[in-house]
Amino acid sequence: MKRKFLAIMIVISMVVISLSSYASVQLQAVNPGTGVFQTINGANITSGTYTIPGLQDKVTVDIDTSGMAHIHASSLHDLFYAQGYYSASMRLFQMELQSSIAAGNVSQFVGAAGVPSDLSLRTVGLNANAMILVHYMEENYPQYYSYLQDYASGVNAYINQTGGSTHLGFKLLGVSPFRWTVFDSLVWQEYMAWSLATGSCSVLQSDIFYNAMGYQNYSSIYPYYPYFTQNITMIPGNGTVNGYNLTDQGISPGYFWNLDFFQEWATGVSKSTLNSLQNLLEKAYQNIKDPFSLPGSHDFGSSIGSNSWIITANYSSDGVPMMANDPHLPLLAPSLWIPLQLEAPGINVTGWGLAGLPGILIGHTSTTSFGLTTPEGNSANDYLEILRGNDYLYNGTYYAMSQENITLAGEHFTLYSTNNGPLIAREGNFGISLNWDARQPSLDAIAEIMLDEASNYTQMLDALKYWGPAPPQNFALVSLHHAGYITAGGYPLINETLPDGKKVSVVGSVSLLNGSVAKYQPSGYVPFRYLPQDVNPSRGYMFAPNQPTVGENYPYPFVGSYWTTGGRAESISHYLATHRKMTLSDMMQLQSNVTDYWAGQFTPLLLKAVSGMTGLNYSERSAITLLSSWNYTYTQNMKAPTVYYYFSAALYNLSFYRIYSQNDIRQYEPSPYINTAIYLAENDPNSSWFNGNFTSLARQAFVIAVGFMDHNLGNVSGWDWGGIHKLEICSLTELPQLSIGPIPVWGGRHTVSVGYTPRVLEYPIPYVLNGSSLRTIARPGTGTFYGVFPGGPSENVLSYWFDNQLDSWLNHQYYPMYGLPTEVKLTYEP
Amino acid sequence: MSHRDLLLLLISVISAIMVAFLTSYAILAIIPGIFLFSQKFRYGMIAGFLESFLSFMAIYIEYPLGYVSRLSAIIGGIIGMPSFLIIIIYPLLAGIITAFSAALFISVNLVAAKK
Repeated sequence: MKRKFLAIMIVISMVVISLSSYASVQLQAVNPGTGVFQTINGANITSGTYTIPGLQDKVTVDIDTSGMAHIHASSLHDLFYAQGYYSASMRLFQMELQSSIAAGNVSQFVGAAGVPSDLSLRTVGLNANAMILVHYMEENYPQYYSYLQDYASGVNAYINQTGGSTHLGFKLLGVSPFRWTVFDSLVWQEYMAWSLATGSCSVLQSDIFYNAMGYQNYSSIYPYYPYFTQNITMIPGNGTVNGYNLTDQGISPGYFWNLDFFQEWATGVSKSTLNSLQNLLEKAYQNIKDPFSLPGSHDFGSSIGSNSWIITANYSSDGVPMMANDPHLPLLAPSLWIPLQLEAPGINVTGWGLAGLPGILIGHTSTTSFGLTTPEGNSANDYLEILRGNDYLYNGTYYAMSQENITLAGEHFTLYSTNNGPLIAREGNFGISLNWDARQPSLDAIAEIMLDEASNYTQMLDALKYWGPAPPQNFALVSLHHAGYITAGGYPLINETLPDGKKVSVVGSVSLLNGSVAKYQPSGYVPFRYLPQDVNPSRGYMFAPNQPTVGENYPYPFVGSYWTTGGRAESISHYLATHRKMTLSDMMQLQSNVTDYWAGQFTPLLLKAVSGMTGLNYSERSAITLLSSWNYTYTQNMKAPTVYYYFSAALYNLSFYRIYSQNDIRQYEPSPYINTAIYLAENDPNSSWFNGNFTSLARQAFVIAVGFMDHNLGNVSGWDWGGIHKLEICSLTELPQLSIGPIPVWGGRHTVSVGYTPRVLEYPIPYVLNGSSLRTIARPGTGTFYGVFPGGPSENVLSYWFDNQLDSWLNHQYYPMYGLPTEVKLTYEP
Repeated sequence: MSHRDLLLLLISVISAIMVAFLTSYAILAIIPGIFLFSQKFRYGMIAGFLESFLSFMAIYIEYPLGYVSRLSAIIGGIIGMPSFLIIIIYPLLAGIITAFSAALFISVNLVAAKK
């Protein structure tokens, strides 16, 4: 053979080997031995004994057929250690990704694409707040800090043993898990608190609206108490709490709630100054909108919320109190929640914990149960800063802003803070800072564990004295004999001097506050005794689906408040008022309710408007027939919800959105309240919002909507609600291949069993991404507890345990939380 | 084929299996190719390719077939490849590396023999 040929072969071989080797390194993820296929080993959870260094004694983990893990330990150390180990074995990648997002470190995972999210959350200060909290807890609450450490050690024991090799996310990104610390748990707590904080963006949005359209328009669209909600507050009555109210301070609620709190006397910012800040307001809004954020309460009128209600002993069929709760959160695959029972001497609690945090947040013991929803009064306010270079003005003197230099994906950034909080935007000599009460250490993790340990109503209340300040939450509490609510957490108070000279401390502001003087600084929090609360109300029930928590005579008025529309509250209120002697079955039926209260109010007005139309085509006549016979429920096979949806969307386009667009604020106003539209249609049909004639505008909208449906959905047979209204349970990675759905789904944005989707004249409409992240019904008095959530305990997409409860959740079915057979029995040994 | 060649072929096969199951790194698939230096070009390359391709494919025996199929469809969707390619691409690379490793060492052997 010729030497030349051999030389060529040698060169070719070396080139091919080099290229193939390079390609194999790049394609390590699909290496059958060490790549993604290794995660198959984590798909099946099999019974067995595992040696886990760090445990003091044997721990058993019994996973029942619903996927709930019952962890039994002989000490709290072992209990939280085992919870950390078990959680990591099920959710390690989710936990680490969540922690990285919260800490503003996600760019370390995903590179430059993560910088906007990191910058947003670093600006808000989650990372810095969590660091403060870690040190504060370590110093002041060493016992509870040790539980967090035990949890972290359990997570790390799992990492040491497995390297996270069965978790797909790490394989796909080609990274190894980092060691878990107490900081990682607490920064996720901060993130959840931020996602549930009200105020912040809402204040910016309301100022943008006010600047563009004035107070009259603002107050007609967004009254302090949304229309029709005055009598459905969480706390029954006029707002008096523990015998104290606004009137006691010499202030008439009628006078107070007619004041314009955008005025300079209320904020310290003149109207002309506020008007000149439109660009700055918009910039601030954009800067703190985390592109990866979990949709929460930030947005004005977002209508995202949760449900809970309690039934007192005398209103219950069995003579014992009951509780129902379904917190509405982003529906993620895997879920934010992990179902657990934690049992050790001094604690025996069952329910759902947040992956990444020790304890149970929503759950029950044998004698108590607790759930939560978000009250939408401001826990975060925005302040106007006067700046000179890197200094800010305060009480006539300039001080240097504190600075933090950070590097994200190789880019350097400097973050500034004033005495009011992080500077979120700047333009010239003006800036806006965010005053969020999570700057103070929030002891939620302590309150959660104390709540888990509580065995009666008083102990639960005592536990909640530690909750917050961020985020305030409506806690539904039920014990053997008591049922009630308290809005626990810290509401920052602003001291206001009213135009009549009276002084009062109010919660929050609707507008930017002057940050350069002491007058508008937070003066403390609403005292625990006067937080919205009641127990065993005489009417027999209370409910808290994000409607106003208290009436207009509350002693600390919620000036900064962005309550949801109250549609779910109306449905729950009407149901409970007409169902004396509630049974468990009634509770489940109400939680499954897909009837839209507002549709029941609005549809007759819409039908009346179109009733005299002539020359209608077949589709238009069909649409009217469907609406006329509609019972306002949203199931997948119904057509009327589709007609209502597009009809109201077209009407919004012609009315509110048209005017918002003319004023260049459309992108800051996601949706006007439905109850505002109903109120105006009933009481002011010639309003300029309706272009002077509701009937005429509704007719135009009707023709547009039906034409739109004809064009996009075809004839009437293609108008099924399930054809356009679909659920997607997204992966936190945002990869559709790791998500679940789209699945045709029931419900609408105002139904108790909710199916949130924005009201838009589009096809396809946006997927439902938020909803009941779990449903639970508890009756401690008879030891009856049910629950379900849209997922499973595992994050392994191949595993049966990835979504084993999803079908039950979709069908509004429940699992008993005790007594199911054990499917997998794990023993952890030291 | 001489006894020596047969023995070397056997060593090559065993080393291919060991590389696949003990290390799983395709770059190490060069090793089985070394033992094929005394083969003819065509047979050496074919044998090398088959040894490593099949050895790496055999790793999938460790997993339930249904899971392999589902996971390859998911990963294929993420990185934009047909799912069958997700399954065979790594073994394919290992096979190519061994085939050309064999070619390299056969060439070197022949060059050395001509000196």
